[in-house]
Amino acid sequence: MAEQTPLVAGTAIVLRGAFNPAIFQPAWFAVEKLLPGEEAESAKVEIVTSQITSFTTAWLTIQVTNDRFMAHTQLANMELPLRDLVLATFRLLRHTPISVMGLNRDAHYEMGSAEAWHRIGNLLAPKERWEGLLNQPGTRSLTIEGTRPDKYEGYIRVKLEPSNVIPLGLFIEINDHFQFATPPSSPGDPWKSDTESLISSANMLAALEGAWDESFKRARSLMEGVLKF
Amino acid sequence: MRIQRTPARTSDTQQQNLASPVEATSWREFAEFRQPDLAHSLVIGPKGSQALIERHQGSVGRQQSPAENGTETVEFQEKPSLPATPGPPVEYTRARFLVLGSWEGVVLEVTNETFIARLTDIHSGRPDEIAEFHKSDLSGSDLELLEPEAIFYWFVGYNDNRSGQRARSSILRFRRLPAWTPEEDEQARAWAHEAAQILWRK
Repeated sequence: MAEQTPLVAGTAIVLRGAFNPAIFQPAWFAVEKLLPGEEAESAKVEIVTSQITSFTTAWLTIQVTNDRFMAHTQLANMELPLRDLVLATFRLLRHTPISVMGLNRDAHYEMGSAEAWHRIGNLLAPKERWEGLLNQPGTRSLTIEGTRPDKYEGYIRVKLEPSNVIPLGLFIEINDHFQFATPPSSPGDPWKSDTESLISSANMLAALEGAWDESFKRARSLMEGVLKF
Repeated sequence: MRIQRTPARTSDTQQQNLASPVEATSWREFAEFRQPDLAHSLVIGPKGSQALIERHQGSVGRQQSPAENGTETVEFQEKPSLPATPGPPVEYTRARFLVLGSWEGVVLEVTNETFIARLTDIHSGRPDEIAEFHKSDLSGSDLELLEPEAIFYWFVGYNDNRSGQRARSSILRFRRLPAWTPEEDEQARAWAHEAAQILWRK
């Protein structure tokens, strides 16, 4: 049985829409009082341009391009501040079109032994069928998708991989995906929506506020469930 | 014979097959970012400093499964044309905070040295409690937010640092969320709905 507390874990909120990356720099967050001034001052800015912004603080990573926004933390006690930061940001920038949102949790667990590590891969993807087709078949990545149990459009994906951080570790990622508009059938076409998602963040804000707790519990339950396989 | 598999690295050549780039929200999908045109980019940092951080060789970065082109967010494979400032790699820190207890607090009363708050356990249904905290527990910027009805989070747990040392920690952090009244929420929705109607009519 793996240790139930992950050695490395993270939470990320990913949004897809139309963004102006140059806005999202530490100074803006400080001026709007969304980050403490001292945190913004000591932030490590990788890049701020009209195409991409990326910076990190002691607990937070922000990365924004013209069509994606991501806020990520690796500290378990900063999940709620992370949610608040995204809520506050897009309450201020409420005319930002946001089409989809992902509430993502990832964790690297120590499996305790090589047997336990192999067992979970063999259980989820039995290798007998592959014997003779591949030499020494092994599970590299497995994604299971389920429908949403709530009123939102979207899906829930669980991804399992050998950890690339912990030897004999298991990586689990939960992608809790909310869809507020229909993606185009071919690249370059516009998104389709009869809601206000194409011109505002209102639906995203409502979902982030309303579904956060359940999403958090579900992710924890999914991870614990996988570890009991 | 059991084999130890090496982690997927940047040499992967497999096509990515899952969520299309326009709808994916898994945070690692950021690996699909393309390098921006740096020749026309302004790179700024705190107090105007310039910085581009490259990934150190051997660093695991943030990705579990790198995309086929092997790039990660702002971890440039080619030398950028702007001056790079040496810095630590952007990667998992291995530092972690193990939460033993977490509460949401509402400030009831502020005195000269302390403040009194009602605490609600975030992850259990235990009854609310009243507690008194010293103002000296707050950082300078959080002290500015201290007032009756202000909301804060209180976390108690173990702080494991990068060298593996563990210390018991108590962290207070005030909520930085501008309050939105139901009326403001309704107004924003009404505006968006009206604008959407105009757009769809076209």
